[in-house]
Amino acid sequence: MKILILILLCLLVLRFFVVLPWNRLLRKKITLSPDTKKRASQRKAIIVLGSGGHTTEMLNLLTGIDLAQFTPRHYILSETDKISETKGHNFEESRGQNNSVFHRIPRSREVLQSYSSSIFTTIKSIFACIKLVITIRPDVVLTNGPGTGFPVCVAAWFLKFFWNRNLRIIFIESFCRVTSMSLTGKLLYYTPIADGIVVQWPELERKYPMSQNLGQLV
Amino acid sequence: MENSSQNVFNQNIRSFTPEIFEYSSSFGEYLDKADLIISHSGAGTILDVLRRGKPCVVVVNDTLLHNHQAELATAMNENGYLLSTICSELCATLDKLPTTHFNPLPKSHPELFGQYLDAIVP
Repeated sequence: MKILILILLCLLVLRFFVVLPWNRLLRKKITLSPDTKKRASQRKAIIVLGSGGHTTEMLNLLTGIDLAQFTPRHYILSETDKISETKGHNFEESRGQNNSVFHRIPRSREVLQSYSSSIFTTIKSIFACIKLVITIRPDVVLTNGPGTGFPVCVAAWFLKFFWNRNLRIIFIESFCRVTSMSLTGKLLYYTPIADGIVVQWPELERKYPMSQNLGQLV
Repeated sequence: MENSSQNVFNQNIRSFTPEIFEYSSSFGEYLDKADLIISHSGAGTILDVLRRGKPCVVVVNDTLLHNHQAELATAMNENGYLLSTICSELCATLDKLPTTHFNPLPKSHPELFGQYLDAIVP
């Protein structure tokens, strides 16, 4: 019995090393090429729409990707955020797409909510994320903050660990971050959760060498 | 110098009727009509203004601690895309406008994100 547990533990540790984002940890940059990759099948995407400016930036980023390859697109947004849903629908419509689903998750913390009660709502929100991520089983998760994206990334990391090591979790730092990283950015940068941290200013890449600067994207 | 510009501003403001409106989806139309935009340092507004090629003066809130909005304003100011200032310096900054040359904001490249995603996702 002890041996079995030991073997299982070794396997889990081994798995942990397998799913580490090695390219990022070794500070290797992704080489960009204008030729699109030929994939046998489409990639399921989860896109977190953070609210306000975050949503606008995310939708601007999406204008640069080949939507036909990353489909269906599952948008995750917070329950109370009506504007993001409208913006998302408008974006999909304007691109002539109809392969998207919108999911709402409870917010981890409402404005003016006390910190002590926000522990419970955060747990509630994490469970909602895990359930969503398990049912969607994405190949790629995109978030650009704020906090809403973090539980989704944690849930996605578990899916990557137990199910699909080819899953990629990518965080894109806002254009307004020139010299300092946001809290969500730091959380994903210092943990091995994100496979890619994209920033939009060279100053920020110098400060955070495990990130990659792509210049102004939005 | 600063005092005189403040006087000019005070005189002018008497013949100036401000129109105040709430968050509006037709905000872009207001920007289209404007000759100068004085704004807070939000990334969204700054990009909306600069993409229209309009001169922009950004007022950074210097009373907030660790205000990350100042980061963007400073960087954009250094690149000559806009003028960044604080409340108490606004009048002096407006005086500089006639002699200020603005650099156009370079085009953004979201397609690079597409290439990045294409390369990183197996």
